[in-house]
Amino acid sequence: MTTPSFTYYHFVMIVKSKRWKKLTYSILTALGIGMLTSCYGMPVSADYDIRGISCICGKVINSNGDPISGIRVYLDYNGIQYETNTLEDGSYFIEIKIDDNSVIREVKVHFEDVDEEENGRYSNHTESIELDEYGYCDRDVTLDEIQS
Amino acid sequence: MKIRLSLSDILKREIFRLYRKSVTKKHQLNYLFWEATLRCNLSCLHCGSDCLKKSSVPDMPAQDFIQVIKGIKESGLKNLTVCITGGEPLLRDDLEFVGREIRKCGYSWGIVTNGLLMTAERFNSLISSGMGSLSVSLDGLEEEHTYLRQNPKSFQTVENTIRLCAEHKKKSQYFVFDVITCVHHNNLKKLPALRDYLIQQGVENWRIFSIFPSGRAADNKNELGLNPSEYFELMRFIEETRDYVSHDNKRIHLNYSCQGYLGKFELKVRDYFFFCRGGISVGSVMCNGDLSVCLSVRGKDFIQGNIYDSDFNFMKIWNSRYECMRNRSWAKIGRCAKCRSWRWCEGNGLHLHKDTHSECTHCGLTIIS
Repeated sequence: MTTPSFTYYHFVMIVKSKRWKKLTYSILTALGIGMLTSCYGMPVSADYDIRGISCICGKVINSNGDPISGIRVYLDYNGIQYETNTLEDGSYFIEIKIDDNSVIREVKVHFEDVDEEENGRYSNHTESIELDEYGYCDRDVTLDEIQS
Repeated sequence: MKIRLSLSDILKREIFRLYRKSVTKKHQLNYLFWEATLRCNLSCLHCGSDCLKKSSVPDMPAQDFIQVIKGIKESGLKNLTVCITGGEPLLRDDLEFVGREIRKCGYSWGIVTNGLLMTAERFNSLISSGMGSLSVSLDGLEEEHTYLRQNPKSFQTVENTIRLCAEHKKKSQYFVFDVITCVHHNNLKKLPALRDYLIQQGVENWRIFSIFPSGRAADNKNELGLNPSEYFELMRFIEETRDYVSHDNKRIHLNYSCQGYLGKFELKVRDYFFFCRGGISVGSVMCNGDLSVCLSVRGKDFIQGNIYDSDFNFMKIWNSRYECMRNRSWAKIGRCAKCRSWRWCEGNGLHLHKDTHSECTHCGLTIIS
């Protein structure tokens, strides 16, 4: 049986972890060190690093162009499931942060009617979405209504 | 000024002073303002830039600013946040294009807006161009806000902007927004009501500025400025609000602006000790191409170059100039020369100096002492 050794890889993983970031931020805050706001500018989130953030957004509508709320929107990436539900205006927004700072270029996104009769019944749909070089895609999706 | 501080207070200040020295020595740019326009669709009584509907300075072409950003990227700078401001930046319809180019360089960006032109469509368009943060100005409940902003629609449009941001915040863990309030003696007493209103609207971060005499605010300083007891009352309000829990168990994170050293109120009204980072880690590109620090700093002594100069290179200027911001000894004159808190303050914010030969125009420490 081998004893797992603490390598540089483990060190990097700890330093990158959210818990470590929170701990560091708490210590800095206690000492009055930190820069979340600047002059008359907008704030900067403590753990905000845009590198590696991919974003898929848009609206889910029916064949009349009306927004559909309560649609489950989800995707699988590297074994992790990301999901959200559409809001009243039919909008959805999914963000994925990848540790190696790369962005996603293509992904399959699933749209699923989970509230049954409420807002009408719609067939499930899968859309293959291409993201731009910055990891962004704004895509409206139309779902077919199921006639009862 | 003589302020009684405990040993731990002094120790914290000294640790912070070491940190400040190290950041100053490092002199690494991490926040850049872009004054996208000097046009504005409001004419607020307290505008520090004296912006008007029409400006004699034309808007800077997007490509000119993008070249600046690309030059910074080529220098190897990895992290930078670009703050697009004005005037009113939403008057430009190419912010999305600029935003995407900023993202392409691997930098983050956001805007400061009065919200008057914000619609759901524009908001979504900015978000899908990579906007990661937003600040919107709200100077009171409807009556007080309209008084300063001089526009009856302004309150409703700010409310709409806050709603859009709060809804988006639920979907995005990386998006951050806050509300900026300028306090004067007509809205000071209404701050508790404004606090409850903001909490109800889902605002998590709030920043308060007191009005300093610059631009149109200088013309209206007698009407808008806080007297010493009001200033003290404001500090007390901020301190209390930072511990405040609403009836439905919600909180709001309030910070006072970076307007100067505040003695015993340090860390009680802000998360961090006072540190004017202008020229140390904060730079700006003004509408006419001038390079300065934050956009409230407009004195000629603080202009370090211009993007339209023939041999322009932003990082070369950043690295070789900005000396008067890194070494603030010129500010140790007048009352600052005698002040025992100088080592922790270094002459207040740069925006409170007209040039490198004059004393600061406002000292919060003097007022609260």
